[in-house]
Amino acid sequence: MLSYLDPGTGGMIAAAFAGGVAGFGVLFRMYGHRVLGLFSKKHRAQAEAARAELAVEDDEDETAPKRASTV
Amino acid sequence: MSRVYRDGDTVLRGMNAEAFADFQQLAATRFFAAAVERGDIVRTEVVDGVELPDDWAGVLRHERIDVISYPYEWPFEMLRDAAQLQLRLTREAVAEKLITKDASSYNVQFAGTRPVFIDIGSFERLRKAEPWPGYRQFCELFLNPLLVQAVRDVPFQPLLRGSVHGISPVVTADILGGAGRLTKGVFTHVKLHARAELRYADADKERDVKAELKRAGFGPGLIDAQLKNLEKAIDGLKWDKQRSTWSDYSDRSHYTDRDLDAKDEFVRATISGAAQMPRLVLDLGANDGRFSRTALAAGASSVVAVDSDDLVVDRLYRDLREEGERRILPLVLDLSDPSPGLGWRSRERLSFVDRVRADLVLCLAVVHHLALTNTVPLDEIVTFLADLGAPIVVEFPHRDDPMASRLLARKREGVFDAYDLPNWDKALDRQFHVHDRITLPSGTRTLYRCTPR
Repeated sequence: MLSYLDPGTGGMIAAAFAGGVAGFGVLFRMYGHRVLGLFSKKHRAQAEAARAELAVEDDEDETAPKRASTV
Repeated sequence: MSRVYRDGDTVLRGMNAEAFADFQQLAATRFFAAAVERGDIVRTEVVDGVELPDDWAGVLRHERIDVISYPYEWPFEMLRDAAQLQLRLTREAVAEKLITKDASSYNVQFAGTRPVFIDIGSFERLRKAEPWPGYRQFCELFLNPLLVQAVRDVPFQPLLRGSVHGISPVVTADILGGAGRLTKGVFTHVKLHARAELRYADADKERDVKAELKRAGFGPGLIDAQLKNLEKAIDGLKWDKQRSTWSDYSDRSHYTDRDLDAKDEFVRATISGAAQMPRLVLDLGANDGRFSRTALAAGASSVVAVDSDDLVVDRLYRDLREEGERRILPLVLDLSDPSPGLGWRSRERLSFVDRVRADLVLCLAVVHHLALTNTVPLDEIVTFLADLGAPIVVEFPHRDDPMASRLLARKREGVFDAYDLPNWDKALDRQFHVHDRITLPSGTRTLYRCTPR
């Protein structure tokens, strides 16, 4: 009747693995950002900004109903 | 959000403003119209001026599916076909900037042997950098059940009936163990999925990685690649038993042709002679579907054919699919333990007896199995048949019937003394009016046509 689905991080990682070349690209960029973040202050600042931006988007999403009704 | 209301033959769905906006976007896509035309998505229209118990921004009417069935009543091949439909529709949706927000096998129903997607409310707009929200549920309710059966020959029906949420990646990984290492999809969708889930169980950590993934460009292209990967995994699954030929499997070798012909004729006469033509026939212990087909030929509109052996039901499904016969719905059901009410308040999924209300019940070559194998007393068997609330055609094999005596031979002396024709007649007579009875040509079985008192 009611299902609440919040896509988990585990699922996203598995999705990236399943996604072949496209998924590899995403994982590569993600770890790339991490490695660059170790050495560059500027990069860390960019990452923070991006994270804040996404967090705002997430919060907006959370006001939207996520309940799906099934028969 | 949306909610479904069933009132007799009418199925309505109330939608709030956001869900209704999603629907309008869905209705404008090319794939939706085509999928409805193909019969892949249930026929749906917007209706105005309908009174519903709650206030909604929009109301839809869906075409009614004759009989609702659940994944724990499907054999392997039906669940596979349902999975393929879910993936196909999701891919088509992604191509037009929509997505399915869940992926439950309960969202697929079978109109006979044809899978139909019924959850219109599942389609929503694809949000930027969002993954497929239905992925985990797809694994739990489609992929993992198919995997445990294909790889380890563990039937998925009892597991799905055990939990309406399905089989989690972690449990699937445990069931599979080292097996299936080479099976497509196991590494990514089960092992890695299970490990990543355990690793990111901590909410803060989860949020960080999620944000990083989004930033790294998680998008529709990746979702499509993921769906394609799942499609390949599902297509590649093989259940070994399915491939073997069980030519003598049908439990009919002991019958004389004359008995079978007489039963066919009795079923035919019951249906064509009925005051009102039965629309839906329930065939208990359907095996290869012989009498289901007889019922259709005699004029019934559709048949639910149940059998407790999932391999037999799987074979019947594949045969029917190949023939293009869409009026028979084959289901796995153990009559000594039929599907109960499950899920939320035990009412989310209805019990089989509450859900399937037929106009005629066929119970051929079943009573001796229930009485002698499952040790159900005769009056209890009759009560179960009466619960179904329809006229019945029932067959009683006598003590000297070859099948019945084979079952009796294994029993301790005296325990089944009550199993005989006079006791059966007495039990039947208490709850049914018997209109007609014949003894089959072999002389060891009696057929009855009766209606509940």
